[in-house]
Amino acid sequence: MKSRQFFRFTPPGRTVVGPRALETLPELAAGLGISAPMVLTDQQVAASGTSSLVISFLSEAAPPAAVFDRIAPDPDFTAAEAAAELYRSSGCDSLVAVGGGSVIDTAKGVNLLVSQDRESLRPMQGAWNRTGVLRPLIALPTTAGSGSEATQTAVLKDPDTGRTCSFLSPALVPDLAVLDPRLTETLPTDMQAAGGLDALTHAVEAYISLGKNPLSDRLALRATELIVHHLPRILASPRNQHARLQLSVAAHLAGTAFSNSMVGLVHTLGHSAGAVCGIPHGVCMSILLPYGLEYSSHRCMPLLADLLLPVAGRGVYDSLAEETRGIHLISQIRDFIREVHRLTKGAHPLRFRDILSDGNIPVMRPEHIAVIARQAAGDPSLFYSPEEFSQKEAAEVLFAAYWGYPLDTDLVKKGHQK
Amino acid sequence: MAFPRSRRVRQFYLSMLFLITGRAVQAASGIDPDIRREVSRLPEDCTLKLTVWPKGPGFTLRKTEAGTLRLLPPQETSDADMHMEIQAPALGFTLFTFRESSAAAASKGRITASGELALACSLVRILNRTEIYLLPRRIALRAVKRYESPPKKHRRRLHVLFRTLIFKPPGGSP
Ligand SMILES: [Fe+2]
Repeated sequence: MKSRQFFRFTPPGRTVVGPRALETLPELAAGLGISAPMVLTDQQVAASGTSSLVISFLSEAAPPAAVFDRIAPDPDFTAAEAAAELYRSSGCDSLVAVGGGSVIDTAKGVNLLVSQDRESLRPMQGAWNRTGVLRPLIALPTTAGSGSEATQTAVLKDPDTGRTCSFLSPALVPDLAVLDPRLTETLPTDMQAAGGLDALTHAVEAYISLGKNPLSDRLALRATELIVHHLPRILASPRNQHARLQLSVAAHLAGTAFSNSMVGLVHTLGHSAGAVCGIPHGVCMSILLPYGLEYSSHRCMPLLADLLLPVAGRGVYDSLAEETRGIHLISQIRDFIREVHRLTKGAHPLRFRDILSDGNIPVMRPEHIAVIARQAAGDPSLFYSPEEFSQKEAAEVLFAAYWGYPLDTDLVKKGHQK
Repeated sequence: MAFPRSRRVRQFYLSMLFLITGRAVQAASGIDPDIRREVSRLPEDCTLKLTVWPKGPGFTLRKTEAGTLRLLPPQETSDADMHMEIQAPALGFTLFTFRESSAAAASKGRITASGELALACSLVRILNRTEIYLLPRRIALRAVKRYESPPKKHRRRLHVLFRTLIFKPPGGSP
């Protein structure tokens, strides 16, 4: 029989990891031939002193020609376009992103604009291969979550439509990623929890995605194991430097995995829920993850069973019959998220209804669900989901996640076969 | 059907497959409620292009005022709002002889897309739906993730096949 296997794999750039990794930054920057970098960060990272620490190391070889810190969570094109203007007017020759996924994705957007001499990101959207060579980009992730320092994707919002837009190209992979536990030291516990669960979602969705391949599989399984092991330790004792570094490595592995196999339903719905209601990405992921798995479970039960081994360990895995492992995985993941909720003393929410604004008003209301489901139909990650879903089914999943009810998987399956 | 070795035969086969599929989409967009709903969400005058890299063949569809899709004649197909490209002729052949789904092809990185990816999602859904009319169920099952029989399938299928196969120059109203 002819093999139908076909995959392509884009590895991350050079990756330097360790408790003293930042000390090598000057030499690494010099190696890339940069002399006038632009540092991108956000105000929280700047206030914590993390970006100053990076700048002090960077300055030994290449003092920054500009610093741009006006990047909000869930950034839109305007931040990237403003930063590109500053880049040009300051005569920069490279980019250094110090922050979470929002900062690194914005840096990728800036890189597209300045390397291709364009004014606007809107016409540059898409998944394509012929981007040409971009400027050097160094990524220093401060969240252990998005894995964006390893990926060929960037997700930014269109300020006119409010929709999330995707950019995908091998040229977007940062040239260098530096993982040092000092970068995540000042991260608040709830953000650490959300980031860790975003990384878990990357690993799990990469493993069940239609775009999976043997290379992404290995990375996804190892990332899952590291996250399940180290995230609770960090939440229990945030000063645990070893655990924080391991979580950064896990997020990097999960990022590499999903950059090549892509993500699925959880991200499809989560991107839209984030865009419509302004809920942080990692929070959307952790609320939706068990539902996404339940929804697709009948299409990927053996794969869910494989994931039980890194999540629950050999003892539990061996004690269960093969056909029950997949379902058990979903309940283990629910338990894990509940444990994260407990360790953050309730700061990490378990359902959409519990996310409140400053005025104690739920940020998502039932009437948002139809809007989110409609927007989700335009998210390219739905290509990779093992099960098809209509807007009506997307709304059903969101509704269950809003109230915290489990999905009736029998009903889901019957609905699909109708 | 094996992938032909001769470049000219290959190009001819692929051109025929694209022509048939493009015409079928045009025909189905006039009668299928799901496709009509999908088209109604596209921006006015929106053009969607699907080609094989580097030089085709392919087709371009434009949203009409009537809310259907019109197959554009080749001379009108230069720029499109969204352009999907299949990365090699052999991959186009696998796709249009329905040995794998367009979703699977996209998910393995065999199709690239320039422009708003929401439009690419719409085109893939429209193609999937058209395949249900164009193909026997057994083959369509391979081409789509989930097979959902549309109402009045047989009557509509006859309409789509008739409109696809009875020659009308591309660009005629559906
Ligand atoms: Fe994510």
